Amino acid sequence: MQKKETEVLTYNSLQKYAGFNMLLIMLITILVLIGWHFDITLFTQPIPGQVAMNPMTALTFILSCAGFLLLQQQQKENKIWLYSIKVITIVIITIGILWIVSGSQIYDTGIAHILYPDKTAQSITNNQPNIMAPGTAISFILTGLALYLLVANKPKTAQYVSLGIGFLSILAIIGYIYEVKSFYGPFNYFAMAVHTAISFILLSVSILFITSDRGLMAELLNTYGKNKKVFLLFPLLVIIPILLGKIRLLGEQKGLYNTSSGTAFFTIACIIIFILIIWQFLVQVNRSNAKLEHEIVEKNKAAEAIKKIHRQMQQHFTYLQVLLNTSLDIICLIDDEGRFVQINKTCEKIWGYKPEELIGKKFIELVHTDDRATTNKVAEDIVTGGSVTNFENRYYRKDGSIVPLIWTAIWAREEKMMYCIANDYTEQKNNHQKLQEYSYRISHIVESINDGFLSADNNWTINYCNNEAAAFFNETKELLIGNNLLSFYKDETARKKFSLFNIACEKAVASKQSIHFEFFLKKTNKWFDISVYPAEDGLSVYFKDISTRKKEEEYVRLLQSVVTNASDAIIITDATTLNAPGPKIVYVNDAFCSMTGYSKEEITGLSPRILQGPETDRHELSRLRTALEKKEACEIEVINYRKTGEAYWASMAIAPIANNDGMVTHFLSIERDITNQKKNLSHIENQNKALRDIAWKQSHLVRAPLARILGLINLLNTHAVAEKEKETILTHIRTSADELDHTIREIVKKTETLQF
Amino acid sequence: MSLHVMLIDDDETVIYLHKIIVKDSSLTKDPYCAYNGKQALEYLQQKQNTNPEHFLVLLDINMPIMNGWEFLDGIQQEDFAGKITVVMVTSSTDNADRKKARAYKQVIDFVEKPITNADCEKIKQASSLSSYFSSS
Repeated sequence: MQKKETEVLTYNSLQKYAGFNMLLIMLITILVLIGWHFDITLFTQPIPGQVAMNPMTALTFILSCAGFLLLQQQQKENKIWLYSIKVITIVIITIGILWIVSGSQIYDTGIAHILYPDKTAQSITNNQPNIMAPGTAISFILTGLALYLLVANKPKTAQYVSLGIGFLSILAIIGYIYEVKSFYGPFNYFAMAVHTAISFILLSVSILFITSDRGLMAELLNTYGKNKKVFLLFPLLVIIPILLGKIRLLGEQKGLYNTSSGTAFFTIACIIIFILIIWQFLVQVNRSNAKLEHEIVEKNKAAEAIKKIHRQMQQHFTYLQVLLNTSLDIICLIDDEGRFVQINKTCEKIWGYKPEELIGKKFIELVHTDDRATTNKVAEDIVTGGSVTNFENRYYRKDGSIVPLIWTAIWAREEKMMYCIANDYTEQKNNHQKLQEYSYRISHIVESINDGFLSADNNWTINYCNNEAAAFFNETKELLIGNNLLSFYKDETARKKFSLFNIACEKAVASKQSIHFEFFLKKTNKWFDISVYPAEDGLSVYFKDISTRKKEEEYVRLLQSVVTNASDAIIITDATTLNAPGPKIVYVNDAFCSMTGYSKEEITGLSPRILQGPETDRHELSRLRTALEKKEACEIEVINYRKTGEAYWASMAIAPIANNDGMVTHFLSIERDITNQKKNLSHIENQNKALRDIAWKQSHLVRAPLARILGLINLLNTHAVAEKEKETILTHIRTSADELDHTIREIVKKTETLQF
Repeated sequence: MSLHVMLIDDDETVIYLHKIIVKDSSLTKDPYCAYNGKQALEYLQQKQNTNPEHFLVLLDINMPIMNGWEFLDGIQQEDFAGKITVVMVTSSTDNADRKKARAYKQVIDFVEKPITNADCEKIKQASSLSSYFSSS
């Protein structure tokens, strides 16, 4: 890095050179003033016989340098800074104008003799008074202009102006070197002093340096121009031709060669030197080009490496974030004012707050009011360098509920922050509470159950016994506890009575397996269900009075025999579904098997629908279904089919069976074969129908002659009938009566022929 | 203008009996008699073409050749259909027959055999016939 600084011109180094130039000018001019004051002609007139620098010129230089040094401070916001520069600008330009006015000899402003008027008036060189040269005056006006342009932020114009200053001063210097008077004193009698010209060159260069980051200089100094060696070629371009010209001039004056050969020599030297300079220039440009390219490659490599590191860091950061956020504990940073700085997302799960809601918030606001004092104390301890583990306090959740937490925290001295980890304690706390409740409940259950319970240790000593267990032995609880389970009996009869029980207990302990048995006590006529559980520290015995159940079982057995032996078929199905495939048969009796031809084994698990067939009345079935859906009993008569496929008429009474909760669990169906009844009935019905048909058909035939007879008889009764007519009427009656008789005979004949 | 009465029945005894009763109840002095529907229809066609007059027909249903229903259908196409009033006379009351008879606008009543004087008096009261008997 240091090597590069020496080879490359930077803005800062040029600024430094500019400042250095200013100081050099100030030194020169101060020496001039000192020379005037103490009459040291070496300082005022460095080349004897040539003009001295006017003290006013020296003063103006000091003012100009002060102006540029101020400008370098770059304080555009500061108004005093701005005004001072502007005032300096106006003063410099005014002085320049006054000089020109004086020099034109139209009006003597007297500016040349403001300082050391006697000495300046006496200083007459080559018959010329000591006044400012027009070049000097113009250069000052240009200097003021440059300063103004820089303040007005027009660097490019200022650079052109400074080049003008440089041109004027170089002109003067060349005049001195080649002794061309008109160059350094255009009007012959008031010439620019040699150190004035040098000072202006320095000033011109300084202006260019100050503005090296802008305008012409910025264009010049981009990438390749920054090479110091290249930049140093510029002064050579000025100095070498001047020196060559001087050498040529001196040689000619000494008569070493004539004008034409001198000019040739000069031209050749110029060509060679320019080629060398340009050669060197290109070499330098190429070198720095190669170097820059190399640098760019290196930079890219470095940038790539940085990018890679950045990516890795991002990856690590993401992992860390995931790690933090998936933690079941709250992990947070709290600053020395007690505010959350960073917190993982777990806080939302435990507290209900999102991390962004908490950051900046004081943690103590979340702490349960009763826990704040202790929490603050612990927090102070941590801040003074301690750490804490398993500190327990309670926090308010966002919804106001309380959550117990266990904290681990440490103070990070450098970061001035508390690293804290909090664990939700609710579950452990609940578990602890639950355990307590549980043991309480167990003892409560043991006390309150109706079943007998007894426990004994390894020596058969009874250590717990409730009233029900005592009742089993027909003893009191107090007598049993502390006694030996196998030998507390009053007498031999009592011992005999419970001998089976004792044997079971001993067997259970010996085999280390629980034993389950039923025990009947004749005296009280009670059945007990006894379970013996051996344990590491003895055994537990449960007594359950099952007398009622035993009675029920007896009753059930009775009912079962009725069902089994009934002559009607009995079917019991479950009541899981009335939809296809229908309820499943869980029981059929023998009568069912003989009626249908199915065995118990093959029909169990199937639906009674297997009995139905093409002639089964669907209306009856749907009537049954409706009734069962309403949990009502129903009777139907349908055609069913035996296993052989033979149809038979079945009368069925089906009833739902409910359990103790009123829930229908099964259907009971009692079925009877009524095929014979059905046959008889249909026979009678057919007979009736045939008879009805005959009666209906014949009624007309009977009615017609009967009606005639009735009419004729009526005629005889109501009408005055002649004797002859009477005979006619009677004949008619006879014909009708015969017809009637014939008809009735026909009816009888038809009825008799009916086949039944 | 007088009312003509026609008895249609295949049974001679019925014709004999009804003739007497119709005369007695003075429905008419001289009823015309036919033994089946065809005979009656032909008579009517012949008689009514020259001089259409109002006929009261006592009509049996069950007859050979052309029964009562066929006769009723037959007169529907005739010009004199409006001049015929029919009383159905049957040996047995059948609701199906009564219903069927209602479809014919000429049928005003349904009487069971044998016809009686009371039946005849009732017929006289019928709105379409009362004008013939109001004077007597």
